[in-house]
Amino acid sequence: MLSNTREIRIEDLRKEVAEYKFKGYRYVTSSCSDLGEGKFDIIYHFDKDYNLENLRITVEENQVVPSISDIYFAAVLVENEIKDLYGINFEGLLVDYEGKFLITEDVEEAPMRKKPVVKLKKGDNQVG
Amino acid sequence: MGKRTIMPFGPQHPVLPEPIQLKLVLEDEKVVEAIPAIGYVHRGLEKLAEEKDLNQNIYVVERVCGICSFMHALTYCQGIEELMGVEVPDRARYLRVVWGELHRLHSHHLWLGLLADAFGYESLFMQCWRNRELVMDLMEATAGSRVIISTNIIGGVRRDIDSEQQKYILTNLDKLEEELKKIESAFLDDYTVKKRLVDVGVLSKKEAEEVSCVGPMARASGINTDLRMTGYAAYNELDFEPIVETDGDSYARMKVRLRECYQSIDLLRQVFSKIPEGPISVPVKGFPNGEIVSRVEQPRGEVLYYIKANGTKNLDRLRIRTPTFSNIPALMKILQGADLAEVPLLILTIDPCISCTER
Repeated sequence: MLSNTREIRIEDLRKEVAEYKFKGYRYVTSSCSDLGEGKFDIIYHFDKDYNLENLRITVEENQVVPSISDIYFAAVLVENEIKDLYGINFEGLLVDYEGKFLITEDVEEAPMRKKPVVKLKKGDNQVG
Repeated sequence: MGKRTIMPFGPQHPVLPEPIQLKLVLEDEKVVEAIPAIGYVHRGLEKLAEEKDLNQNIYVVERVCGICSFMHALTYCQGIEELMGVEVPDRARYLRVVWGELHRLHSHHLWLGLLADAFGYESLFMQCWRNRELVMDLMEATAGSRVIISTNIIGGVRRDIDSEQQKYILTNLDKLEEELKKIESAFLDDYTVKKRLVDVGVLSKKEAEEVSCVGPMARASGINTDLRMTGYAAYNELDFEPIVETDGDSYARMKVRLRECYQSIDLLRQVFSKIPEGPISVPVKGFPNGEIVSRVEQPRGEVLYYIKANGTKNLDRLRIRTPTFSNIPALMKILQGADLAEVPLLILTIDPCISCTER
């Protein structure tokens, strides 16, 4: 199981991350996953002496997350990636690719978001 | 102040083996800023992993990168095993070290060759790659293929290495060590090589910590970090120390990788003196549930897998953070203030693997 994980509010994110920086932790990466129903999980991983600590926030669709890239510069690419793949907006990104970091202009929706499952009943027209 | 220009460097460029693009802001010949642009070869493997089942995913992650395919499979399998509480047999743990270190050896040789090529030493490049062939032969002899060897399974490994093969590996390692000693002085003492590498692209320890550097890049800047020290596979039963240099320049990065080749040879010898008899895998039944982070030290540095399972044959999420992705911010730092002519060499010193970055 994922140990050393704390759930925090989005408002506390920057304060908590700054504390990790102060304590000398290395920012490893952030993992985002789609929980369905317009909710997303973002886990921030920090490492010190091979000990991994994690912060978890839950983000609603269209909610803006404060960027931590000015605290840890290494977060720039990770946050841009999450923005591209999940369509979550980050405020205050140091280098903002505006959603065109990995995907091109012609991709309209965030590709890693879960698609709604449409259940077909017997007799439904499956064509179109 | 000189005239400012923005120059796109890559994704296809004669000196770049990998499709990375850098938008270089130049002031005359000096780089003021470098902004990476990736996404040219993105394959969406993380999405694919959500659709394939647990065992098929091993083949998916092996194709994240050809150079460290075994290590990707190892990270994934270790994660799933930990989630399911599977105890891997001792012999399998040792065999995982064998293939892991063979991968490190061939990756570092490949990089050393590319480095020699970048500063114009073609014969040295050929020599490094010829030595790499010795390692590739070992891979073929033990697994049947040279690059993607597919020996990891959930619960252990697929193939055993018998005593005949062990002898063959040890003979080849002796040969490799001898050859390595021959090229070592060309890398370490040559005037031209030093001129191109010493004090070029210096990344101080503080800067390296700021940009979350990993692997040989971090170790060359004096950060003592090597995930093998956490003792996964059978590393906790082997005797070694992380190789650290303090200068933080291109020369130090080359030295770390060169010394790591000797370290890998030493680790392999230790493994063959200690490897226990017994089964090489255990049957695994059922599906995992929960989430886990699995980390392994690849030739380029730390790789992180975040695995979220839901009790079915499919995973909810497989996040792969590869070492090059982590080292690109460091590249942005070392390029600032560099000459345009040094750019190809500096890109090379982080050992970029864009295939990994754009999984």
